[in-house]
Amino acid sequence: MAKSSDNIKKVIDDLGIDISASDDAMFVVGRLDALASTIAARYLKRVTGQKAADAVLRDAAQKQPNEKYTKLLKRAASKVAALERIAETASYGELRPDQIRRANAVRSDLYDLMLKWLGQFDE
Amino acid sequence: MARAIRRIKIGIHGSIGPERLSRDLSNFEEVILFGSRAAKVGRRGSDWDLLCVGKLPPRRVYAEKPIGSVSVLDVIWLPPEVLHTSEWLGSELANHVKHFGVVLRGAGEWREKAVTSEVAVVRKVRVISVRCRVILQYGSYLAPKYLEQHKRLLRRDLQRLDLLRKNVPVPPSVVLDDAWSSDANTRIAACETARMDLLTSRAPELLNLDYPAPITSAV
Repeated sequence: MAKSSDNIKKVIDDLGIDISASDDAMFVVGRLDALASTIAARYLKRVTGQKAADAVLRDAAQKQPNEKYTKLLKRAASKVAALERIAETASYGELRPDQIRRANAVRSDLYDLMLKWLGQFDE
Repeated sequence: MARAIRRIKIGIHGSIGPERLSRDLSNFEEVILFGSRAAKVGRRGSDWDLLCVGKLPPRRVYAEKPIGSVSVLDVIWLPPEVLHTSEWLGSELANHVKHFGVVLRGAGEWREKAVTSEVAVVRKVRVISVRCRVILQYGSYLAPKYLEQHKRLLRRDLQRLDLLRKNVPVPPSVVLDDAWSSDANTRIAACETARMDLLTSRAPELLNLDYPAPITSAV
Protein backbone atom coordinates (compact mmCIF):
# COMPACT_ATOMS: atom_id res chain seq x y z
CA MET A 1 0.00 0.00 0.00
CA ALA A 2 2.85 2.36 0.88
CA LYS A 3 4.49 1.77 -2.49
CA SER A 4 1.26 2.47 -4.35
CA SER A 5 0.84 5.72 -2.40
CA ASP A 6 4.40 6.73 -3.22
CA ASN A 7 3.83 6.07 -6.90
CA ILE A 8 0.62 8.11 -6.91
CA LYS A 9 2.35 10.98 -5.12
CA LYS A 10 5.28 10.92 -7.54
CA VAL A 11 3.03 11.14 -10.60
CA ILE A 12 0.87 13.85 -9.05
CA ASP A 13 4.02 15.75 -8.20
CA ASP A 14 5.00 15.61 -11.88
CA LEU A 15 1.63 17.10 -12.80
CA GLY A 16 2.94 20.31 -11.28
CA ILE A 17 5.27 20.75 -14.27
CA ASP A 18 4.09 23.43 -16.69
CA ILE A 19 2.96 22.76 -20.23
CA SER A 20 4.72 25.39 -22.31
CA ALA A 21 4.96 23.75 -25.74
CA SER A 22 3.17 21.31 -28.02
CA ASP A 23 5.59 18.54 -27.10
CA ASP A 24 4.76 19.04 -23.42
CA ALA A 25 1.09 18.61 -24.26
CA MET A 26 1.81 15.34 -26.06
CA PHE A 27 4.02 14.16 -23.23
CA VAL A 28 1.32 14.81 -20.65
CA VAL A 29 -0.73 11.96 -22.13
CA GLY A 30 1.85 9.54 -20.76
CA ARG A 31 1.71 11.28 -17.41
CA LEU A 32 -2.07 10.96 -17.33
CA ASP A 33 -1.85 7.28 -18.17
CA ALA A 34 0.70 6.88 -15.38
CA LEU A 35 -1.69 8.66 -13.03
CA ALA A 36 -4.52 6.35 -14.03
CA SER A 37 -2.25 3.31 -13.70
CA THR A 38 -1.06 4.14 -10.19
CA ILE A 39 -4.57 4.97 -9.00
CA ALA A 40 -5.93 1.80 -10.59
CA ALA A 41 -3.22 -0.25 -8.87
CA ARG A 42 -4.45 0.99 -5.51
CA TYR A 43 -8.21 1.03 -6.01
CA LEU A 44 -9.04 -1.17 -8.95
CA LYS A 45 -6.21 -3.71 -8.87
CA ARG A 46 -5.77 -3.52 -12.63
CA VAL A 47 -6.73 -1.60 -15.72
CA THR A 48 -9.14 -3.63 -17.77
CA GLY A 49 -9.74 -3.34 -21.50
CA GLN A 50 -8.64 -0.16 -23.22
CA LYS A 51 -10.11 2.27 -20.73
CA ALA A 52 -9.03 5.85 -21.10
CA ALA A 53 -7.37 7.50 -18.12
CA ASP A 54 -10.45 9.58 -17.29
CA ALA A 55 -12.63 6.46 -17.19
CA VAL A 56 -10.19 4.82 -14.77
CA LEU A 57 -10.42 7.83 -12.48
CA ARG A 58 -14.23 7.72 -12.62
CA ASP A 59 -14.16 4.03 -11.66
CA ALA A 60 -11.75 4.74 -8.81
CA ALA A 61 -14.02 7.58 -7.64
CA GLN A 62 -16.57 4.95 -6.65
CA LYS A 63 -14.05 3.37 -4.28
CA GLN A 64 -13.24 6.46 -2.25
CA PRO A 65 -13.64 6.57 1.54
CA ASN A 66 -16.12 9.44 1.42
CA GLU A 67 -18.11 11.70 -0.88
CA LYS A 68 -15.55 14.50 -0.73
CA TYR A 69 -12.85 12.41 -2.37
CA THR A 70 -15.32 10.86 -4.80
CA LYS A 71 -16.24 14.33 -6.03
CA LEU A 72 -12.61 15.40 -6.27
CA LEU A 73 -11.73 12.39 -8.37
CA LYS A 74 -14.74 12.86 -10.65
CA ARG A 75 -13.79 16.48 -11.23
CA ALA A 76 -10.22 15.38 -11.88
CA ALA A 77 -11.50 12.86 -14.43
CA SER A 78 -13.16 15.67 -16.38
CA LYS A 79 -9.91 17.62 -16.40
CA VAL A 80 -8.03 14.55 -17.59
CA ALA A 81 -10.48 14.12 -20.49
CA ALA A 82 -10.15 17.80 -21.43
CA LEU A 83 -6.36 17.62 -21.33
CA GLU A 84 -6.30 14.49 -23.46
CA ARG A 85 -8.46 16.18 -26.08
CA ILE A 86 -6.00 19.05 -26.40
CA ALA A 87 -3.04 16.66 -26.42
CA GLU A 88 -4.58 14.67 -29.27
CA THR A 89 -4.71 17.80 -31.37
CA ALA A 90 -1.01 18.33 -30.68
CA SER A 91 -0.21 15.03 -32.36
CA TYR A 92 -1.35 16.57 -35.68
CA GLY A 93 0.72 19.71 -35.47
CA GLU A 94 1.88 22.61 -33.41
CA LEU A 95 -0.61 23.96 -30.90
CA ARG A 96 -1.14 27.67 -31.05
CA PRO A 97 -0.30 29.74 -27.95
CA ASP A 98 -3.88 29.98 -26.69
CA GLN A 99 -4.24 26.19 -26.92
CA ILE A 100 -1.02 25.74 -24.93
CA ARG A 101 -2.24 28.20 -22.33
CA ARG A 102 -5.55 26.35 -22.13
CA ALA A 103 -3.75 23.00 -21.73
CA ASN A 104 -1.62 24.43 -18.96
CA ALA A 105 -4.63 25.92 -17.20
CA VAL A 106 -6.40 22.55 -17.27
CA ARG A 107 -3.23 20.86 -16.03
CA SER A 108 -2.98 23.35 -13.19
CA ASP A 109 -6.62 22.72 -12.20
CA LEU A 110 -6.00 18.98 -12.30
CA TYR A 111 -2.88 19.34 -10.18
CA ASP A 112 -4.78 21.34 -7.54
CA LEU A 113 -7.61 18.79 -7.45
CA MET A 114 -5.20 15.90 -7.10
CA LEU A 115 -3.30 17.61 -4.30
CA LYS A 116 -6.58 18.01 -2.40
CA TRP A 117 -7.43 14.41 -3.14
CA LEU A 118 -4.02 13.33 -1.82
CA GLY A 119 -5.05 14.81 1.54
CA GLN A 120 -6.83 11.58 2.37
CA PHE A 121 -3.49 9.80 2.66
CA ASP A 122 -2.61 12.04 5.60
CA GLU A 123 -5.90 11.53 7.46
CA MET B 1 -1.58 23.50 -38.80
CA ALA B 2 -3.06 22.79 -35.41
CA ARG B 3 -4.00 26.44 -35.63
CA ALA B 4 -7.23 25.19 -37.11
CA ILE B 5 -7.29 21.44 -36.94
CA ARG B 6 -9.52 19.75 -34.43
CA ARG B 7 -10.07 16.10 -33.68
CA ILE B 8 -13.43 14.98 -32.40
CA LYS B 9 -14.67 11.49 -31.66
CA ILE B 10 -18.38 10.95 -32.16
CA GLY B 11 -20.23 7.82 -31.19
CA ILE B 12 -23.26 7.03 -33.32
CA HIS B 13 -25.86 4.32 -33.39
CA GLY B 14 -27.04 2.31 -36.36
CA SER B 15 -25.25 1.03 -39.40
CA ILE B 16 -22.70 3.30 -41.01
CA GLY B 17 -21.63 3.54 -44.60
CA PRO B 18 -20.44 6.12 -47.11
CA GLU B 19 -24.00 7.06 -48.12
CA ARG B 20 -25.13 7.75 -44.59
CA LEU B 21 -21.96 9.66 -43.75
CA SER B 22 -22.32 11.79 -46.86
CA ARG B 23 -25.94 12.52 -46.01
CA ASP B 24 -25.46 13.15 -42.29
CA LEU B 25 -22.45 15.36 -42.84
CA SER B 26 -24.02 17.42 -45.60
CA ASN B 27 -23.20 20.66 -43.79
CA PHE B 28 -19.56 20.23 -44.72
CA GLU B 29 -18.11 21.43 -48.00
CA GLU B 30 -15.90 18.38 -48.15
CA VAL B 31 -15.97 14.99 -46.45
CA ILE B 32 -13.23 12.44 -47.11
CA LEU B 33 -13.08 8.97 -45.64
CA PHE B 34 -9.53 7.85 -44.91
CA GLY B 35 -7.74 5.25 -42.80
CA SER B 36 -8.55 1.56 -42.77
CA ARG B 37 -12.19 1.89 -43.88
CA ALA B 38 -11.18 3.85 -46.94
CA ALA B 39 -8.40 1.41 -47.79
CA LYS B 40 -10.86 -1.46 -47.35
CA VAL B 41 -8.73 -3.08 -44.67
CA GLY B 42 -10.99 -2.05 -41.79
CA ARG B 43 -11.98 -4.62 -39.23
CA ARG B 44 -15.14 -5.04 -37.25
CA GLY B 45 -15.18 -2.19 -34.77
CA SER B 46 -12.68 -0.07 -36.71
CA ASP B 47 -13.27 3.67 -36.41
CA TRP B 48 -14.55 5.63 -39.37
CA ASP B 49 -11.83 8.20 -39.99
CA LEU B 50 -13.15 11.30 -41.65
CA LEU B 51 -11.66 14.55 -42.82
CA CYS B 52 -14.41 17.17 -42.69
CA VAL B 53 -13.87 20.58 -44.20
CA GLY B 54 -16.28 23.32 -43.27
CA LYS B 55 -16.67 26.63 -41.53
CA LEU B 56 -17.99 25.09 -38.32
CA PRO B 57 -16.54 22.11 -36.46
CA PRO B 58 -18.66 18.94 -36.27
CA ARG B 59 -19.71 19.57 -32.70
CA ARG B 60 -22.04 22.28 -33.94
CA VAL B 61 -23.60 20.46 -36.82
CA TYR B 62 -23.60 16.86 -35.70
CA ALA B 63 -24.99 15.64 -32.41
CA GLU B 64 -22.36 14.11 -30.19
CA LYS B 65 -23.33 10.99 -28.33
CA PRO B 66 -21.37 9.07 -25.76
CA ILE B 67 -18.47 6.95 -26.90
CA GLY B 68 -19.28 3.29 -26.46
CA SER B 69 -22.15 3.20 -28.91
CA VAL B 70 -22.10 1.10 -32.02
CA SER B 71 -19.67 3.00 -34.24
CA VAL B 72 -17.13 5.71 -33.66
CA LEU B 73 -16.49 8.52 -36.10
CA ASP B 74 -12.98 9.87 -35.64
CA VAL B 75 -13.33 13.26 -37.25
CA ILE B 76 -10.53 15.60 -38.20
CA TRP B 77 -12.00 18.99 -38.89
CA LEU B 78 -10.39 21.74 -40.94
CA PRO B 79 -11.72 25.13 -42.03
CA PRO B 80 -11.52 25.61 -45.84
CA GLU B 81 -8.80 28.28 -45.72
CA VAL B 82 -6.30 25.80 -44.27
CA LEU B 83 -6.54 23.35 -47.17
CA HIS B 84 -4.19 25.23 -49.46
CA THR B 85 -1.54 26.15 -46.90
CA SER B 86 1.90 24.61 -47.30
CA GLU B 87 1.71 23.37 -43.72
CA TRP B 88 -1.36 21.27 -44.47
CA LEU B 89 -0.27 20.17 -47.95
CA GLY B 90 3.08 19.01 -46.57
CA SER B 91 1.62 17.14 -43.64
CA GLU B 92 1.65 13.39 -43.16
CA LEU B 93 -2.13 13.34 -42.90
CA ALA B 94 -2.71 15.29 -46.12
CA ASN B 95 -0.40 12.94 -47.98
CA HIS B 96 -2.16 9.93 -46.49
CA VAL B 97 -5.57 11.29 -47.50
CA LYS B 98 -4.22 12.01 -50.98
CA HIS B 99 -3.27 8.37 -51.51
CA PHE B 100 -5.86 6.49 -49.49
CA GLY B 101 -8.81 8.86 -49.10
CA VAL B 102 -12.25 8.33 -50.59
CA VAL B 103 -14.08 11.56 -51.32
CA LEU B 104 -17.67 11.33 -50.06
CA ARG B 105 -18.55 14.97 -50.61
CA GLY B 106 -16.85 17.85 -52.41
CA ALA B 107 -14.03 17.80 -54.92
CA GLY B 108 -10.91 17.20 -52.88
CA GLU B 109 -8.83 18.96 -55.53
CA TRP B 110 -6.21 20.06 -53.03
CA ARG B 111 -5.05 16.45 -52.86
CA GLU B 112 -3.12 16.83 -56.11
CA LYS B 113 -0.82 19.31 -54.39
CA ALA B 114 -0.15 17.27 -51.25
CA VAL B 115 3.46 16.12 -50.87
CA THR B 116 5.70 14.54 -48.26
CA SER B 117 7.66 17.39 -46.74
CA GLU B 118 10.74 17.66 -44.57
CA VAL B 119 8.51 19.37 -42.02
CA ALA B 120 6.49 16.16 -41.69
CA VAL B 121 9.71 14.19 -41.13
CA VAL B 122 10.95 16.61 -38.47
CA ARG B 123 7.55 16.58 -36.82
CA LYS B 124 7.53 12.78 -36.71
CA VAL B 125 11.01 12.72 -35.15
CA ARG B 126 9.71 14.98 -32.39
CA VAL B 127 6.63 12.82 -31.82
CA ILE B 128 8.82 9.73 -31.52
CA SER B 129 11.13 11.55 -29.15
CA VAL B 130 8.17 12.39 -26.91
CA ARG B 131 6.94 8.79 -27.04
CA CYS B 132 10.40 7.56 -26.02
CA ARG B 133 10.49 9.99 -23.09
CA VAL B 134 7.08 8.79 -21.90
CA ILE B 135 8.22 5.16 -21.82
CA LEU B 136 11.56 6.01 -20.25
CA GLN B 137 10.02 8.15 -17.53
CA TYR B 138 6.78 6.31 -16.84
CA GLY B 139 7.29 2.80 -18.16
CA SER B 140 7.57 1.37 -14.67
CA TYR B 141 4.40 3.15 -13.53
CA LEU B 142 2.20 2.32 -16.48
CA ALA B 143 -0.29 -0.52 -16.28
CA PRO B 144 0.60 -3.26 -18.79
CA LYS B 145 -2.29 -2.26 -21.07
CA TYR B 146 -1.11 1.34 -21.20
CA LEU B 147 2.53 0.43 -21.64
CA GLU B 148 1.56 -1.86 -24.49
CA GLN B 149 -0.42 0.96 -26.08
CA HIS B 150 2.43 3.46 -25.77
CA LYS B 151 4.85 0.97 -27.29
CA ARG B 152 2.43 0.26 -30.12
CA LEU B 153 2.14 3.98 -30.88
CA LEU B 154 5.93 4.35 -30.79
CA ARG B 155 6.41 1.40 -33.09
CA ARG B 156 3.86 2.68 -35.61
CA ASP B 157 5.45 6.11 -35.62
CA LEU B 158 8.84 4.57 -36.28
CA GLN B 159 7.37 2.77 -39.26
CA ARG B 160 5.76 6.00 -40.45
CA LEU B 161 9.04 7.89 -40.10
CA ASP B 162 10.78 5.28 -42.22
CA LEU B 163 8.12 5.62 -44.93
CA LEU B 164 8.13 9.41 -44.79
CA ARG B 165 11.89 9.44 -45.26
CA LYS B 166 11.48 7.17 -48.26
CA ASN B 167 8.72 9.39 -49.64
CA VAL B 168 6.26 6.50 -49.45
CA PRO B 169 2.64 7.29 -48.51
CA VAL B 170 1.88 6.18 -44.97
CA PRO B 171 -0.83 3.49 -45.04
CA PRO B 172 -3.49 2.89 -42.36
CA SER B 173 -2.33 1.57 -39.00
CA VAL B 174 -3.69 -1.90 -39.64
CA VAL B 175 -1.40 -2.21 -42.67
CA LEU B 176 1.56 -1.08 -40.56
CA ASP B 177 0.65 -3.68 -37.94
CA ASP B 178 0.46 -6.47 -40.50
CA ALA B 179 3.78 -5.46 -42.03
CA TRP B 180 5.42 -5.39 -38.64
CA SER B 181 4.32 -8.88 -37.72
CA SER B 182 4.97 -10.47 -41.09
CA ASP B 183 7.97 -8.70 -42.58
CA ALA B 184 11.36 -8.77 -40.86
CA ASN B 185 12.64 -6.09 -43.23
CA THR B 186 10.05 -3.69 -41.84
CA ARG B 187 11.53 -4.18 -38.39
CA ILE B 188 15.06 -3.74 -39.70
CA ALA B 189 14.08 -0.55 -41.50
CA ALA B 190 12.49 0.81 -38.33
CA CYS B 191 15.68 0.15 -36.38
CA GLU B 192 17.74 1.83 -39.06
CA THR B 193 15.54 4.89 -39.25
CA ALA B 194 15.51 5.21 -35.46
CA ARG B 195 19.30 5.30 -35.41
CA MET B 196 19.46 8.16 -37.91
CA ASP B 197 18.59 10.70 -35.22
CA LEU B 198 19.71 11.02 -31.62
CA LEU B 199 16.17 11.94 -30.57
CA THR B 200 14.82 8.61 -31.77
CA SER B 201 17.85 6.40 -31.24
CA ARG B 202 16.57 4.72 -28.08
CA ALA B 203 13.32 3.59 -29.64
CA PRO B 204 14.51 0.10 -30.71
CA GLU B 205 15.74 -0.60 -27.21
CA LEU B 206 12.42 0.54 -25.72
CA LEU B 207 10.60 -1.76 -28.09
CA ASN B 208 12.93 -4.60 -27.09
CA LEU B 209 14.12 -4.86 -30.66
CA ASP B 210 17.38 -6.59 -31.29
CA TYR B 211 18.90 -5.12 -34.35
CA PRO B 212 18.24 -7.95 -36.75
CA ALA B 213 20.51 -8.95 -39.57
CA PRO B 214 19.22 -7.89 -42.99
CA ILE B 215 17.24 -10.53 -44.83
CA THR B 216 19.07 -11.48 -47.99
CA SER B 217 17.91 -13.79 -50.69
CA ALA B 218 21.28 -15.41 -51.20
CA VAL B 219 23.53 -17.03 -48.65
